[in-house]
Amino acid sequence: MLRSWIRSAVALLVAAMLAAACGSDDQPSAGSSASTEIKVFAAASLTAAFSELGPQFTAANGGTKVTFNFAGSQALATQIQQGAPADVFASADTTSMDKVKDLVGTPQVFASNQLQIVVEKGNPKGVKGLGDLASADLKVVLAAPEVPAGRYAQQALDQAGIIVKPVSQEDSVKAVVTKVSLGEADAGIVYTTDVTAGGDTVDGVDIPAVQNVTATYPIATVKAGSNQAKAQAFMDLVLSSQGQQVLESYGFLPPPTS
Amino acid sequence: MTGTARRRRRRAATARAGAPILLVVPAVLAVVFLAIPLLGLLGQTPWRNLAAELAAPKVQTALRLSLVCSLGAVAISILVGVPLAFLLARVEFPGRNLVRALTTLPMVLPPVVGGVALLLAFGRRGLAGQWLDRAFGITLPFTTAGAILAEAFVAMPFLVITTEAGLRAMDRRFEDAATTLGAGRWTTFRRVTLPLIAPSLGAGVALCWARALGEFGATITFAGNLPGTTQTMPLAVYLALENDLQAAIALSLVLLVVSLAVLIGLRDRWFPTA
Amino acid sequence: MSLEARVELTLGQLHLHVDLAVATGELVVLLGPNGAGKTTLLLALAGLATVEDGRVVLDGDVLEDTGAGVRVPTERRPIGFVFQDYLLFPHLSALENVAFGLRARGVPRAEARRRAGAWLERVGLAEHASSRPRALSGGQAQRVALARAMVADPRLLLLDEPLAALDVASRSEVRRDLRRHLASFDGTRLLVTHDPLEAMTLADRLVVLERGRVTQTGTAVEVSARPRSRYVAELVGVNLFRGLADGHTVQLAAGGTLVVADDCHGEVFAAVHPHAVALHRHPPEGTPRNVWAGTAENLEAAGDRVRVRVAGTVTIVAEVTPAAAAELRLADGGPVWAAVKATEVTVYPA
Repeated sequence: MLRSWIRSAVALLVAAMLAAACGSDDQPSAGSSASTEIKVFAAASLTAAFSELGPQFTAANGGTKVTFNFAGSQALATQIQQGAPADVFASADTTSMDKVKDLVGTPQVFASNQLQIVVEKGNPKGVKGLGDLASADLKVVLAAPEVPAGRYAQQALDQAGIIVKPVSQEDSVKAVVTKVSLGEADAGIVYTTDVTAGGDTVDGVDIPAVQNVTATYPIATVKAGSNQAKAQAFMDLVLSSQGQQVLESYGFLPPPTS
Repeated sequence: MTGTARRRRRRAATARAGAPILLVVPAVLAVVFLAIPLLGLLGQTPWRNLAAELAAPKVQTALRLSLVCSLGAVAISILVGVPLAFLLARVEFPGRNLVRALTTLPMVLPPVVGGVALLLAFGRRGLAGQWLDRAFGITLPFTTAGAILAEAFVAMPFLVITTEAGLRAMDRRFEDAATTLGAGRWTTFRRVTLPLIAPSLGAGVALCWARALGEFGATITFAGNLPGTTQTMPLAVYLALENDLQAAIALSLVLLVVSLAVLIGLRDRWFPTA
Repeated sequence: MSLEARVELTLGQLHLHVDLAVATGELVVLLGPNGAGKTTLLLALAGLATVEDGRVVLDGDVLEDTGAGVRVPTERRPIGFVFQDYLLFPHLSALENVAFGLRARGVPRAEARRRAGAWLERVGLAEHASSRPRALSGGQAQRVALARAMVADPRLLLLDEPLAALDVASRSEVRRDLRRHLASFDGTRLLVTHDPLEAMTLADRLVVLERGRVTQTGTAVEVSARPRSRYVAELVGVNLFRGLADGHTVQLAAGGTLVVADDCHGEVFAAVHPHAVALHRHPPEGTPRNVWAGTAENLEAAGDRVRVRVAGTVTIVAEVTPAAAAELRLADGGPVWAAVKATEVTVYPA
């Protein structure tokens, strides 16, 4: 009796281990214990820019380390809701920030971004605009509608009255770039900053301003964070002219004047 | 008294002697550790809305697709995996150990890595993929076939390993007896070998199916994520998690129930008694 | 119908080198100790063991000829094999087991089942037709195995220790049935056993196999009367000596001499039955020509007699009554004199 019960337990344990090995590969970062470290949850599109700001912050703040968690803003918001230890949250849209408005300080918009069509290097399929994406011969990849970039892209397409049937809805905007750069997809809609960050592997096709959608990026400190002072310092850095310059260098636009 | 009855009596008799407390306590902890997430899930389940959630078209699509893909993956695994298991168990060929290592590789590979590898092999620019594209116009990424392939890739090893073990454990003299009765090799395999390894084969198929059903990393990397085409249940759960927690929980519950059912049904096969 | 086989093979420590012929209607029993190679020989005849050098011809058809590179695969040999542990397919019923050989050879299902049913009746198991092998007793399983092997009318029936898996109680009854069924079989039959009683009661002709070689062949009577190896001598319960004869004296290979009544020359076997050995406390006077001193060791009860081994110039086993054994104080291991009349020694060429 006991033996078969123990067997069931071991079987479940093995199953759990297998499940863990095969499960989602997203791993929220461990909590920041020391006060000489802050955790910044930032939208995937901010990867390059914030990674550059990180060391600058550390240098100017007595060695306080910054660890980043880059992912789709919607995923980050959920993680914060579930209690993931974050000190700062920088989102690619106001919707995700709104989701956690009770958990963060007053958000401030620090940048904006525009959409661009990403294509393979050399634009072999000759994509010229949003209208081309509706072609049945093209493999178009978009971010999932739950992801800010996906929402923006759908908004732009709806506004332009273009119906696109994507072959896949990726879970982050970076994944869209990856699929295009690998040659698996012919085109996708991402942020201009992603195209810049994609470097030599991809090219961009502009979307005219009249069709384009502006993404607003708010940033806020997380109330449950263990180092409010440093968190605020990071936020200040992002909003400062130094931070704004870095963001600009990666293709971000200044916050829209409201 | 039959062999199984005798074994059961012996098992019960030893259990009556009791297990050392040093083993019981950690064992109980293990059970608690495993049970709590499950209980958490059950506790958060929106029982009242469950039927409605499960009936939602997006959920139904994901469920149906998961079934189609997982069963397709199992079919592929049986068709090529059983012959492979037979070869590994019965035929001494050069490089056998390498082949065996290869078949277990997907079991230890992180699924996303598997997905990347599949892309590099079967993607549009992939090793085999570009030939498939040029010669037959077949592309696998972003298709249901691609999802089936990704699931087969990670799940087939389970079937091969279990079946090979079954083939090694069976008394091969039954096959000798069959040949003396005039049965050729295929007849012997069909009428004697397969029925004798049926328990192992069944266990292998069940494990293979459960693994295929739960596959995420390789699928989303290789096949992509499109509702109705490649968005299987695990992918749907992942994306729903951020927006529609109720749907995510409902889907998780379905996956959980299926996995538990498979494991509980297999508990006697998992550790075959000699 | 006949079988001619010459088989040479090596399996581990066993070097099998056998020349065997089984004539029409002859039930040959292969007798030998464990490890002699009996089962291996059967497997080789069935094509289940690799023959290194040899030739197997059944009813004029060549089943195997290593020299000519001919090898008929097992499934095409017209044989029936009854395995020591029967190997009834556990997932099939008794009827399906028996029908297996027919269906494997292309007989339609209905007819196969009908013929199998008829055979089950013949062996008296008609009411167990739908039973699984694990529900059958040892004797019943043996009969199913026999029916299964015979249903397709094989031309060569090979039986590997058919009674070995049975408990002693069922053995004699099953042996009788087996004898009956084998008698009605008109193909060539070859049975293997290590049980001398089985061998003696079933065999038309005995072939003794020891360590991969045939040491003796003949009818049961011939073999028992003139054992040619220690193994057979022990089976029969006879003292066996080997030596060089010159007239009426035999110089024993193990030492000592025996005086014999028959005139013989050359390498010989000399057999003395234990009951022909007389034991005395003092050196006996009288006619026995073979007398020597020795010590009694190893007393054994044999029915209502006592067998005692007397070690001396010639070591011999004697059979006496328990009373005599007590009188002579054989149990104490004291000195004793053994005497054997020359007329009681059977001598035959080696």
